[in-house]
Amino acid sequence: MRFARLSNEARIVVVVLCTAMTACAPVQPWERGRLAQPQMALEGDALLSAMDQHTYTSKEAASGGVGPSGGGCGCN
Amino acid sequence: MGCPCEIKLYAETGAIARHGFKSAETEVHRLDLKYSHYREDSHLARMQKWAARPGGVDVDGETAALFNYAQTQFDISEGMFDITTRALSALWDSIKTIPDEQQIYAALKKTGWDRVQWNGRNLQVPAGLEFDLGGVVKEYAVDRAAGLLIKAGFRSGYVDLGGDLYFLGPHPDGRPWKVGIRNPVKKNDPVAAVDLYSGGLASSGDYERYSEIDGSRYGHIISPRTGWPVGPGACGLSAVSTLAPSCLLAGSVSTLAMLFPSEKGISFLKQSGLRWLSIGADQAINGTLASDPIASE
Amino acid sequence: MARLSDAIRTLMASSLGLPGMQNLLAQEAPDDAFEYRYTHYDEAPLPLDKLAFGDPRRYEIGSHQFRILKNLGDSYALELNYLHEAMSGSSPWYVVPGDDGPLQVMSGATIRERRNQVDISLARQRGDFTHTGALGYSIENDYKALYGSYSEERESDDGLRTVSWGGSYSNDEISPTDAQFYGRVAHAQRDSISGSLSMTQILNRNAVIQSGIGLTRQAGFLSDPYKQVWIGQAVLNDSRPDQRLSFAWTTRFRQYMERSRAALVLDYRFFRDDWKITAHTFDAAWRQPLGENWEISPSIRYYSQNSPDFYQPYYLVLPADGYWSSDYRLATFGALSYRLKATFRQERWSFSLGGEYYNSDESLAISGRPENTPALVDFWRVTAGFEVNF
Repeated sequence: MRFARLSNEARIVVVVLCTAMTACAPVQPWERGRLAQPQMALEGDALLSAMDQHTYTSKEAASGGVGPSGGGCGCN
Repeated sequence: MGCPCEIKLYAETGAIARHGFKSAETEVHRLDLKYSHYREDSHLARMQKWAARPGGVDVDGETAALFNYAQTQFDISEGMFDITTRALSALWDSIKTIPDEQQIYAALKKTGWDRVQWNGRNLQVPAGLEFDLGGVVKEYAVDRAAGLLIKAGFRSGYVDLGGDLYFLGPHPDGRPWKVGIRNPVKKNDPVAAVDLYSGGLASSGDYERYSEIDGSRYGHIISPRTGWPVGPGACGLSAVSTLAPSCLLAGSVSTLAMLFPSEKGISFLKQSGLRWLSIGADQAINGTLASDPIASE
Repeated sequence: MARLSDAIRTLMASSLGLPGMQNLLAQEAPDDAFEYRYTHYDEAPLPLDKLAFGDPRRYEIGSHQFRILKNLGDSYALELNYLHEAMSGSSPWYVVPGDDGPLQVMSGATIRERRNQVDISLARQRGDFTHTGALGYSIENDYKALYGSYSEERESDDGLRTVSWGGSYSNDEISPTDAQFYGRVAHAQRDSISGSLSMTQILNRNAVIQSGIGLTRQAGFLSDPYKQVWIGQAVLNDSRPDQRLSFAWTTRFRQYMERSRAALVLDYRFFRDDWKITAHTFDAAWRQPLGENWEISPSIRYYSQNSPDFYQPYYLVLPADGYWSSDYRLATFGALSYRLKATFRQERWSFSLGGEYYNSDESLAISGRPENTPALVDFWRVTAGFEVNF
């Protein structure tokens, strides 16, 4: 796979596309059914997310997700 | 319930839907019988008699909860929302001429929650004072039926008892229910068409029950203070519809808004945090119920 | 929710006395839960044509994770996590020049290590606020870490937005094995302080977005005691600056798709530190429910980083600033991973199975000057877990 090379100064602009993004409409608590569905969860499976973060941080230079981080390890 | 009632359900099979319908219908009948005004032998009628005797009567759990709720309504509305208005309702119900002062005065004497002794368990009322639970019980019945259906797993459909509704959830494909809010004056003219997904919807206003005397309409919500019906004639709103987490709450809010003068009513609705719609005496429409941008997805 | 007036709240509370009202008015209180997960991680062996000498068989890790969540009364929630890992395999040591490009020297012995980690957290909810404090400890034969964190979360009046902020501190101690024999540092420490701020916003009935930033400052011994660098025939210990300031900005988006009932998941993280490493992480998933109980979720993750100035596979001349590293994890590279997860959910319990294939390569990087990096790793992961709710 080849990726086109960008200049050193290239910045990646992330445009988050959202249908009806302008419709920040009042959502009543009993209307939250969809947001409460398991597939819509932000964190998803807690143990799996933790393991993912641990795995990638051990093999890559970047770290950090959302929120305060925990433990360290001598991962090699 | 003395009105057209409908339950619409979506289910895997017709048998499941019918089963759900049956249990909901049974529950509605139970409440109808228990709190009926028209039967001498209803639970309410018997309770009414015993409450007038010295020592009063200890009521059952469900009735106690209803009375506690009525107490809250009374407190919140500064005494405007009063379930002891049976005498007044009877006076203004289908009459040909405006009652005279003496009649109103006599009915007022048999009214007033503050004259009821209620301690959370025991009920004692002065002779002649009778309860008008009609509105509260109908909305409560909607919630009871809906609650049973939700517990049974139904997530799509609605319960409609004479215009008091609870929506369990949208059509299975996600389409909302299209509900038309009627104009109390022009019966077949919808004032707004709203898309509803879930929640309780109840309306207050001189839609069904009203008297027309000398060309003026007199609704069925009577002020326990003045003895006169509230509404456009008394600087109030013509009709209110509210969407709330339960039909009971929706009904309380709608009725409360009707009991206040127009401006105070609208202000109350605006602050409530719920979606509502009001029709003023001048036919002016206000409210957040109809303006749902989500509907256009 | 739009803020309900006091009048409405009072009516609502009063109506809860009526039988069955909870069915309509219930707020969801999280259940008590117990979770277990096993993950098996397997790295592809170093290709023999990239091996200078040593054992090409790389890491294999088996991890057991346990989690208990217990609600205490109305406002408190206690969470306990325990991790036990067993790792074995050889790891990259240093890189030497070869005829057809750099060759990787691998450690000879396959290390067999165990790591245990435990952490406990207590959360208290008071009105719109949730406060959480956590403490944790990780230990393995050559490494110890103690860490703590505190965070607060506040829900807005309309219930559509949550803002959270927090800080954490970690103190790590390294006592590398066979230090004297290999001339490694015998004993070293490092600590790390970080702060974070994030916001979650419900956009409408079908979509939610979360965005947060974190700042971390590490100080102390930040080099890898088990790695070395070939510098003009001599082999010296990995030497990195003793401070590192890093910044991460993560955004997550979830969109409910009405026709399919699926959720579209899009995440992006931007990372940048004062070692001049820039990294981008993209994550996209499609979580598709099947029937009442199943969910299948394919996902793709793309990662790209560029190397700091002090990274090179090997050096011919000793760098003036005293910093050098040949750790492939600092190289310029990109990685793609493909994942699939299946979940079965019932009323009280759920079970899931997942797999991932991760492939990293110099040519996958978005920017920077990729160099031939023999030790870039590919791995497989398989995971299975269950959760029970009480």
